[in-house]
Formats: sequence, structure tokens, C-alpha cells
Amino acid sequence: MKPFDKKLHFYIDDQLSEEEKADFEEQILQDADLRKAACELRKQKSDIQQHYQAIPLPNSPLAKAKKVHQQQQNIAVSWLKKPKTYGIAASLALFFTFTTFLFNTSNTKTHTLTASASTHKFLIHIDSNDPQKEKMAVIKAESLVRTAYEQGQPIQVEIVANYKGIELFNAENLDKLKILKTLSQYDNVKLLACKRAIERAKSEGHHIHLMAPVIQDKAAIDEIVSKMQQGWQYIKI
Amino acid sequence: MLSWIQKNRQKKQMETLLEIHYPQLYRIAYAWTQEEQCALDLVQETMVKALEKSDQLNAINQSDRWLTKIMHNLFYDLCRHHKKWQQEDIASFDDIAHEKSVETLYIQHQTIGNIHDAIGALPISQKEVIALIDIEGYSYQEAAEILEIPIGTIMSRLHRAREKVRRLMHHCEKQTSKSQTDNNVIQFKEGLK
Repeated sequence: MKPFDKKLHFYIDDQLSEEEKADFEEQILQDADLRKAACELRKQKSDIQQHYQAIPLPNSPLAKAKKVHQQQQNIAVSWLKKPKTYGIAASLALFFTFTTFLFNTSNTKTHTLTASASTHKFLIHIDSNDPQKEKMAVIKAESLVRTAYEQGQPIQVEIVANYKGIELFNAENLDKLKILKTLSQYDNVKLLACKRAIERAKSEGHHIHLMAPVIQDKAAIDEIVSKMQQGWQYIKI
Repeated sequence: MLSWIQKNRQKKQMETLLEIHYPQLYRIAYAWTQEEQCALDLVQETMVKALEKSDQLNAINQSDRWLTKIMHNLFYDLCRHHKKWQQEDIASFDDIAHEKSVETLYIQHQTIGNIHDAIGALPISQKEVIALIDIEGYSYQEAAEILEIPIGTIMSRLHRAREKVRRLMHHCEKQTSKSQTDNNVIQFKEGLK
């Protein structure tokens, strides 16, 4: 970088004090090379500005952003409702544990029946095609199902994918397909790809061939909200 | 009740600010991502985040910087997941000339047809700075606050970015004028026949 280069950029970007500016303009008047460099740099900056000022402006995405924000708030509201549910559930669980403990001393069969009465329900939500996240979603679902089976607990798991997350169910990915097929063999594991995300991918010319057991007729947001209202546990990957 | 009214007012105010700053956000996003759809997605995500955090905006006269900062953070998150935006910092155009094959260089020269392409050829760190200062006219201090980097780094990135854009555009102009001269020669020769 030439010695005057730094000052030249400062001058063009109006970062010099009035005094410094006057000094530099004096230098410019006496130095033809500096004058040429200043003109070129000013022209380049102005060309860049003009180029971007002239680009066509698409319609503002504010309406869509507001909709997404509203949907997120709805989910948050149903989460806020949860502590109450959890409070009641915790009290009931405590009550049942206590009564089971009392019954357990005389009758072991009662314990088994009480435990199997409540079904654990989990909704796993993925909206990214990041391989790490995809892997995590599948591992999470598998471990939940396995643990419940080992403990003899009834369980229902649903993996809901939207946005780029629908790639998780791409039938062309053999690694994922193998694991997901294993998962889908369980009648209590449901796989859902958001119909809006599929439509959007199609409109962008990106056709995803989804594996057979995947449900494709619902919007992810509707499914998430509906399941959360039914008391499912929400896991965001 | 008062808090609900206040929140609602904040939300409405934020929606107005987002509408006002949309053109600026879009231009920056377009320079950063290089594609219309990606730029729109980035702006939309920025708007969602801004609506979410509308209570955190302290000074309305700094709302443009606050929004650009949100967009910068989201852009960096996106960069981590999108290979096409994970660019290595290339030293200078001369260095490329020594390292790349003639074919690669030819393709590169052909694809740089305008300023947008030249900015697209810059590493992300330089692209971000040049977009803020040259397109939107932020001061060095403001750009440093948005990108959360020292002012000295802003200056060095800006100088390097401008130098690369200058060389790329100069080369592009030379190529264009050369092809125009070639066309003229061909037309002249055909005229002689």
C-alpha cells in the first residue's frame, strides 16, 4: 500500500476532519498521480452505489415474516400453557407413585398396570438439512423408542420436517433410508413432511422423492400446534 | 393491560421500521448472498427476528444498524450451513493468476461481467465491509459496530476489497474493449472482401 493510500480512502469516505481534509486537498492539487487515484476511487464507489440503487426491488417479505412470527408466538403460547399441565401431571405422578408404592408391597401386578396406563408422546421437529441435525433427529427418535420398549412403556413418536428439513426423508439417501425404514416399522412412529415445504421445493424446481411411509398432506405448523395442544412433548432439533 | 398496549405499540412501530428499511436490507443482503431468493430469505428471517426482539431496540435512530446487525448474525449462521458461502480468503488477484489454470482464469474473467459479480468474487469478510460502506454509506465506526470487529480490521478489509474490485473491473473492461476491437477488425476485413 502506498503511503497516501490510507488517507485517500479516508478522504473518499469522508472520515477526515476539516483540517485534515483541507491539507489532503492541497496535496491532491500538487500531485497528479494522487489526483488520478482519488478520481478513480471516487468513481468506483459511486459506480457501486449506483449499481445497487438500480437493482429491482422484489415485494417486501414483511407479510410473510409477520405470519411466521405469529406462528412462532402461537407455539410459544402453547408452551406457556404447559407449566400448568406439567404441574397437574407432576402432582398426579406423585400421587400415583405413592399409591403404587403402597400397592407394590402387597401386589406387584398393580404396579405394571399403572405404569403402562400413560403413553409418552414426543414430537421431534427438524427444519434444517444439516447432516448433524438430521442424524440427531433420527438418533433421538430411535433412542426414545428403544428406551420405552426396554422399560415396557407405551410410546408414540412423530418426526415432523419442514423447510430444508424435508431432505431428511429423501428416498435417495440410502444411509438415512435404512434407519428411517427401521423406525417406520414401528406402528407408533410417524414421519411427516410439511406439504408447504414440498410445494415450495417443487416450485423452485427441486423435486424430492420422499420415502413411502412419510405423510405429506399436512402443514408442519398445523401438526406441531395440534400435537402440542394434545399435550405432546416438543423436541426441536 | 398497559404492558400489552406497550407491546402492541412496539410491534406496530417495528413493522413500520421494517417497511422503511426494507430496501436497504435487501440491497445489503443481495450483495452478501449474490442471489435474489437467498437475499429475500435472509431479509425475511431478519424481519422475523426483529419482530421477536422488538422490545430490545433502544434507539429508533439506530434501528437501521440494529437490523443490519441482526442480519449479519443470521448471515453468519447461514454461512456455516451453506457450502456455497464458505469461501476461503483469497490473497489477491495476482496470486490467483499464479495458482489457477488458464481455463479456470478464463472462466472467472468471463463470469465477472459487472460490479455485482466482482463483489461476489470477494471473500465474505470483505464483501460484508464493502456492502456496508460503499453501498449504504456507513462510517468505519458504524460498520465496526455492526460487524463487531475493530475499526482497523474494517479499514484493511475495505482497502483490500476495493483493490480487488478495481482489478477485476479493470480486467473485465479490457476484455470487453478487446473483443469489441476484434469485432471491428473482423467487420473491416469482411468489408475489404
